Amino acid sequence: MSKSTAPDPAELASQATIFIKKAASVLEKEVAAGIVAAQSLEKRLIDVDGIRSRSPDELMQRFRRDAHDLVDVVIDLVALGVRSAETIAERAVEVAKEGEGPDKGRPQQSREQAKKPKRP
Amino acid sequence: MLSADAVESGLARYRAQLDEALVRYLPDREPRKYLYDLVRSYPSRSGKGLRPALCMATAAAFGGDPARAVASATAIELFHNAFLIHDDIEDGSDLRRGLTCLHREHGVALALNAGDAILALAVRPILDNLQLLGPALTFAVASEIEHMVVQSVEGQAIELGWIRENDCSQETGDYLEMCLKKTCWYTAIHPCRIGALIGSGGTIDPNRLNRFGYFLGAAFQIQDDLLNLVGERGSYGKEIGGDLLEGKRTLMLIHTLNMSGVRDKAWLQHFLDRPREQRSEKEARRVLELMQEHGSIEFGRQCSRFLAGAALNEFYETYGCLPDTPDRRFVHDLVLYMIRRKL
Repeated sequence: MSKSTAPDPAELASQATIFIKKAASVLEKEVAAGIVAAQSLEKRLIDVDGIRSRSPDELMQRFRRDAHDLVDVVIDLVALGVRSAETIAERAVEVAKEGEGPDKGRPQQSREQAKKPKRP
Repeated sequence: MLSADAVESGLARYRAQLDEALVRYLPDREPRKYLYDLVRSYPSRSGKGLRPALCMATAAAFGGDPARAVASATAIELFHNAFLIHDDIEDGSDLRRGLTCLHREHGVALALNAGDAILALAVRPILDNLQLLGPALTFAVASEIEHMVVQSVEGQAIELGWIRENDCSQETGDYLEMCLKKTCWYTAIHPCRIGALIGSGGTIDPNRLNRFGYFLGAAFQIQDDLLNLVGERGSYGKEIGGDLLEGKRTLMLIHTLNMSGVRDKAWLQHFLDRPREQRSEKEARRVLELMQEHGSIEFGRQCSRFLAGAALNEFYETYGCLPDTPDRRFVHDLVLYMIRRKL
C-alpha cells in the first residue's frame, strides 16, 4: 500500500480489509478495557429500576438506615462545630487578654509556643 | 451524491445553537483582560463545530429534540477548546484557526490559566443537564464525558512520550491506538454516543456507535494531518508543515520511518531528536520529500479513504434503521465531506 500508483481493485480491497481489521481490533481492545468498567460503575451508582423493584419494607428499612446514618453524621458535625467554636472562642479570649497586657502591639505567641521551653 | 453546501449549512445551523449556549456559559465579567477575553478567544474563532454538530445531529436522528443535547454539546466543545490551548503550548504551535495561538499572543502563563478556566466552565453545562434530562441520563452523559477526557489526555501523553523519547519504532497499529485515544473518543465516538443516549432517552446501547465514531474520527485525523503537510494555508488555518517541525508522529511520518533505508532513517531520527527551534524549514522540506518518495502521502490518503468507507458501512448499520431526516442525512454526508476537505 505504498509506492504502487494504481493497484488493482482486488488488491485494494485486500489492503482495505487488512487495515480496517487492524483498526477494529485496536478499538475492541480499548473498549473491553475502558468503557465496560465505566458502565458497570454507572450501573452500581444509579440502579433506579433495581431500587424500585425491591419490596417496600426493604426500601423503608434502607431509608431508615440511611436516615439514621445521616442523623449520626449531622450530630458529629454539630459536635465538631461546637468544639471548634469553643476553641476559637478560647483563643479569641486569650488573644484579647494578651492584647491588653504589657506586650500590647508586639507579635503574639500561640499558647503552644508560649509553653515551649526557651533555648538556653 | 454529496452536497458540500448542505453539510456546511448544517454545520452553520448547529454552530448557531452552540454559539447561543456559549454566550450563556462564558462569563462576561472581570477579569476580562487577563482571563475572560482569552477564554472567549478560541471558541469565537471560525471553527467548524464538528463535535457539537455530531452530538446534536445524532440526538435528532435518534428521535430526540436536538435542543436537549445543546448543553452536552457545549461541554464537549469547551473541553475541546481547553485541549487546543494546552496542545498549542505543548506543541509550540504558532497558529490556530488562522490566528495567532493564545500563548504566543498572551504568554504561556495566561494561556494555561485560560485553558484551566475553560475546563472548569465546562462542568456547568453538564450539571445543567440534571433539569433537562433527569438524574439517570445526566449521570450517563457525565460518565461519557469523564471517559472522553481521560482517554484524550492519555492519548496526548502517549504522543508526547514518543516525541520526548524520540521513539521512532511505531507501526501502524501503534498510531491507530494513539489516534483512538487522543482524537477519536472526543472528536466522534463520544459526541455520537452522547447524542444517541439523549435522542433515545437512554434506551439505546451506546456501544453501537463506537465503530462508526472511531472510523470517522481516525479518517478525520489523518486528513487533518495530510492538510498540515500538503494543504493550503488559507483554508487550513494552521501553519503548513508545522507538524513536521513539531516532530508529530503522524501516520505518514511513521510510514516514512518504516520505509526508509538505514541512512535516511538515521537522518530522520537525528532530525526528530532535536528541539523544535533547532529544526529548520529546509530540513522539514526534506522530510516531506522523503514522504513523497516513499509514497507516505498517498498511503495516508488511502488509509483515510478506507476508514471513511468503513465509517459509511457502520453508518448504515447504526443509523440505517432510523427515519430519513435532514439530521441523519447530515451525519451521512459528513463522512465524505471530512475526507474531501481541500488538500
